[in-house]
Amino acid sequence: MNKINKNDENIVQLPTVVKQMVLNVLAEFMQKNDADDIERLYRASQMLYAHKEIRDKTNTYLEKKGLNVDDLTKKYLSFSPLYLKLKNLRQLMAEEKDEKIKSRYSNEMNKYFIKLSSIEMSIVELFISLVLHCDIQNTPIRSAYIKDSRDNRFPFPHQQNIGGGDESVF
Amino acid sequence: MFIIKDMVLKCLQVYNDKPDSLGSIQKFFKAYSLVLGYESLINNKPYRVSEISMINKILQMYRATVNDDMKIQIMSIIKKTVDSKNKVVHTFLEDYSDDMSFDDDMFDLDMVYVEGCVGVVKESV
Repeated sequence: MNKINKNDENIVQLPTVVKQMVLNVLAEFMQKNDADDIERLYRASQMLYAHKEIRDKTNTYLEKKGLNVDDLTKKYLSFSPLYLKLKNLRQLMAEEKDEKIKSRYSNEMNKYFIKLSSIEMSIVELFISLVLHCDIQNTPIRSAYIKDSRDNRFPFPHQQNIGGGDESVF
Repeated sequence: MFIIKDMVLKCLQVYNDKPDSLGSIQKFFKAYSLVLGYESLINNKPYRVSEISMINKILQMYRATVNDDMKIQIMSIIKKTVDSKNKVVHTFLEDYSDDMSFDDDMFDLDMVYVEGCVGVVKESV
């Protein structure tokens, strides 16, 4: 199997605070059972994507794999507006009592599915590629890390010692 | 890589705990998407967008349906779809069991409850 070695020089060491943020979003991914998981993967990949070194290494890797990076990132970046539309429709449908209107919403949502499914897989692929290029790949997600939805953000620097390496993440 | 397997395992755990809840089923399909994405990247196994799209549509149909009989029928289709994808997810976990480097704390997460993955976890210890 063609794996990326964790000691590979292509692995970027993430700043602890970024690692915490990504892990928090992933912990949220693990804890909540709703239809927003792809949005969580998107948010986690956004944090990694913003890191230039990881982004560059990921792009090089994807190019070597023969994947069209521009196409992939274009799809990735088109996620937010499309997802918002879908989320809106989902909300409207949940609130609607009239079955005819409900069905109209449902049909409209169906139009988005093929497009969104393609984007969804681009997000998954990009997320995995980004993860593979940083040291977070060997970190387990502690689902107990976030307490509840009101307190689901990473601890701020004054709340803990962020300079202590990986141990301080948990 | 470890984090991806961790995510897949926990999605399966969620599904295993409540196999009849829509949220858990969504988690299962998310695990499946992760597996497809990983296999596509690492082993160049292409996936079909139409397949993911079909799964999303069935889930949407279930959400939109108010008729109980219809809901039962759609759920039966969903269950069949889960069964057919289950093997793919478990094969992925077995294939990559060799580089599962669990530390002792990992067992706090009770991942060993994941049906079918018990062997994989034990092997890796």
